[in-house]
Amino acid sequence: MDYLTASQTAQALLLVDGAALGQVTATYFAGQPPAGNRSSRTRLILFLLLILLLSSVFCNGEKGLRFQYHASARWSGPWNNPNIFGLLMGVGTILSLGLLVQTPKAKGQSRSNVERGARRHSITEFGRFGLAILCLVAAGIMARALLHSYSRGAWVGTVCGLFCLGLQFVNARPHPGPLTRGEGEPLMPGWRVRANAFSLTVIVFSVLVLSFWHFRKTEWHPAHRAFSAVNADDFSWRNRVAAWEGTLQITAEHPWFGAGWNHPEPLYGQYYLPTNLNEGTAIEMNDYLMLGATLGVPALFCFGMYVWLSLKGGVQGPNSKVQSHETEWLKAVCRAGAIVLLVGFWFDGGLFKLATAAPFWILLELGRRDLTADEHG
Amino acid sequence: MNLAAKECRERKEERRMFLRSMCSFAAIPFRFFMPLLAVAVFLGAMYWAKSRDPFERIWFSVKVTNHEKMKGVVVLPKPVRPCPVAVYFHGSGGTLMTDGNALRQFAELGMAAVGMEYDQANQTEFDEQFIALNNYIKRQSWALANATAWIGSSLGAQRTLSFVLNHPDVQPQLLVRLSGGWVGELGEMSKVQDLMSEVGVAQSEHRVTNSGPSSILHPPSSFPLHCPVLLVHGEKDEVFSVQDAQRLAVLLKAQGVTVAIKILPERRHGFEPDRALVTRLVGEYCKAVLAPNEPFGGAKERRVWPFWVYFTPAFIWAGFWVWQKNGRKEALMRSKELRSPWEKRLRWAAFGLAILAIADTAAHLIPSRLKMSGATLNIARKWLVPSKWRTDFETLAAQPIWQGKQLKTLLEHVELANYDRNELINWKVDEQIYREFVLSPMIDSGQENLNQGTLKRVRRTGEELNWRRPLWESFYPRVRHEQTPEAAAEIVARYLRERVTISPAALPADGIESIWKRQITDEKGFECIYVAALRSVGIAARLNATGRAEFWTSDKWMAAPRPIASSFVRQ
Repeated sequence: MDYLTASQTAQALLLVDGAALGQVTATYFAGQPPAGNRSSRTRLILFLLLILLLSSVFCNGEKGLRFQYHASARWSGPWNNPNIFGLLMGVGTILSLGLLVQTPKAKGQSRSNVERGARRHSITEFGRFGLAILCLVAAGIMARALLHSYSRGAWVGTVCGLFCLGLQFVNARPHPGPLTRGEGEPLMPGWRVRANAFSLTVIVFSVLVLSFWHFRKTEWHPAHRAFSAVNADDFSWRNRVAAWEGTLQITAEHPWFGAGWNHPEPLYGQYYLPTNLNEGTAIEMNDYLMLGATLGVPALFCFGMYVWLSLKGGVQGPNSKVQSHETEWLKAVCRAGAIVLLVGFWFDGGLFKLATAAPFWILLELGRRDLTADEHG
Repeated sequence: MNLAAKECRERKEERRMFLRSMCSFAAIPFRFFMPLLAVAVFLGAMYWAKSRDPFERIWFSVKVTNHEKMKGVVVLPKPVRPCPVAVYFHGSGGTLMTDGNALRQFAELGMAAVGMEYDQANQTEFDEQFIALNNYIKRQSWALANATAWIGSSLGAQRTLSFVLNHPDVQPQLLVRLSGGWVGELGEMSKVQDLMSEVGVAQSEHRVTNSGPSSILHPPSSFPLHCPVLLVHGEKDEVFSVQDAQRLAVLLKAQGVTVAIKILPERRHGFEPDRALVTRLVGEYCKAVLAPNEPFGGAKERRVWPFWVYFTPAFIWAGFWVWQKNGRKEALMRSKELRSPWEKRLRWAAFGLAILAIADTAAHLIPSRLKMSGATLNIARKWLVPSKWRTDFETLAAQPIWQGKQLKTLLEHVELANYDRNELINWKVDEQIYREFVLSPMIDSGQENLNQGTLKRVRRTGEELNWRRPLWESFYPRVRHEQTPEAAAEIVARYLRERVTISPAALPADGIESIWKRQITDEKGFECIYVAALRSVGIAARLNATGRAEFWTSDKWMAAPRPIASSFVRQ
């Protein structure tokens, strides 16, 4: 790392700080003894995050009306960028839906906790009902805020997050019948959905294509905004694609150590910006390619592998135990929230912004941690 | 016979075993498949992006005599081959990070553009660095021998002039000074004020060229500078006065040096907002001087491999994984016994929807790529043209200019002209004016009084009608914040000249698309593309009786603004 240039940018600091914050949260909050309370603490962190995100919807100060899309205000909450607001609302929606699904199911778990003497950590039935209502209301409010952010990256991210959450839900469901394979092994849960995945994918894509051709000139702003992502007259995505190309060219010329902190932006504007464009700020929209251009391909590969292994999980050791349904679901919710941000970072950036980087690293770490292994140990 | 059959069976068995071992090798779990796929896609994308890059950049550092290193960059046009060299020196406060646009402009004209991070505080240090740079350039295969221009801007101009005066043995083939001033080394060489009064320089003179040494002057051999010099100066330069440049021009002229001086009216030290245009004009001048037999003849179209070629490894990897995964797929999942009726219906629904989606896509995409005819026009009316465009569509379709053209071209004119007028521009255009002078792709529409030469030229440009999108994509982002057509037209004129060279040597047969792609045209062609560029951003424009572009200001026709200079090269 070039100290002189790195010291002039907050990017390096935010990257390291974000990762450290995630580790600290996962270790000191979700990973603290006494055993048996970690999943409750994870839930607590998620609820706190949810309340914070929910409160941001109502902090629509003067900045909130600065951005417009075809005369409709783009909500940006307390932030000065509707894309950040949209991404956080996407995360909030996913978390509330996840907690809503999980809350009633935690009943059995709490009973076992009671039996184990952890009564003080259990939540009353009334409290559970209240939390479920809170989650439902929060999901509705934040979904509306997400829609009004008109952030396409956040929309795509939320769809991906929902898809992952849905997949986890289907996989986690106990299978109904005594179906077995030929060899007598039980079928994996959700096998029926997987068996029809191709048909479902074709249906979704076909509906999208048909909707595009018939509603691309619609006057309804959210649909207009969504379809503008494939509109040849829209400079917003074209500038982004040009920036991706430029960033890849920078990476190709500085493959091992990158161009250095602070350098890709001026480099792009001066040496790589296509002649028909006059604004180079779109380069800041894609954090992954930016990371590659700044630090080189090996650093990008390391980052990618870290995230992938966090989401997918590494090779389990011989001592790892089967995790409880509740903990597994909480982790899946955290991962889905992290995926919203991961997808959003590709289109709108945010890995180097504290508002989005902090929840991303926290959710990634909470989703990765093997809570139950410790719990049982 | 049996032996042969046995051998055949054994070979088959070996092959099967080999394939099975391959499959077991390829039985890669998803967690490893995805990272490898991502790596293949990323590398493919990187090579694809690199192949589309029109320049090759070489970042180098050269050891200077005091063992310090100096950083520099070379921007080369692709394909890389020996070409004239333009060494650019930024002004005070500039860095390599601010030189890129100028370097790219020089490289675009077919020169190797070199920039360096020089010592801005000390002339002696600069001299050492510059000698090291010269030695580096001499060793390079891309540098054409004896074809080097030094282009100094502001402080860069001061440093290069001082260098050349102190090192007469190191000379470029052309010295260009942008907003440069007087340097101390010149003070002792002549009494310039006297010379000025003898030769006489008018304040308004825009070009001073000297064909040879004058009898009243010092012998040429005694003067350390021998190469031609181009001086470019803003009339209202607030750092180095324009008189400095004129004094220098007189002195150089007196010493037998070929000098051209361009004083740009109303421009300040940085030539803003014409900086990029001045760089282009200087680049054209350099190319003409350094390679007189091969002046800028237009940009060459580069052929690159199609997109999918670079992603083939990723596709192969994904296909292989799907193939081996299917091989391991649970038989039960495929067995018909477990398929419920709704699953069968789901498959039929997927099939039906897919057919519908494909048909709908084909109905939208295929007709627009067909040649214009009654049938394609009918399809367009029924399927492709929204009601708000209908009148414009019919107006254009009625013109007898679409023979052999794609329907897509007509649709793009209608769509973009409508989009400009109704959603983008901040000024109003009357319906009639809009139809004739914004919507119409014919540059000569409504002009019967053009002279024959211009008319012939205009008709030739009319053979290429598919110009609106490329021009709109380049010009609209630059004028999007303008409130009046006058302000927008100035930007269009400036940027158009930045991109298109005016040269009498240009091929006269070019249409507007070709002019834009090749970046070169003659005077008449420039007027035609100027009108097209104005129309592309929603400004009503046409050619006047003398063949010059004019535009509609909301109440009258007015001569379109001109770029600050059409060329620095003596035609």
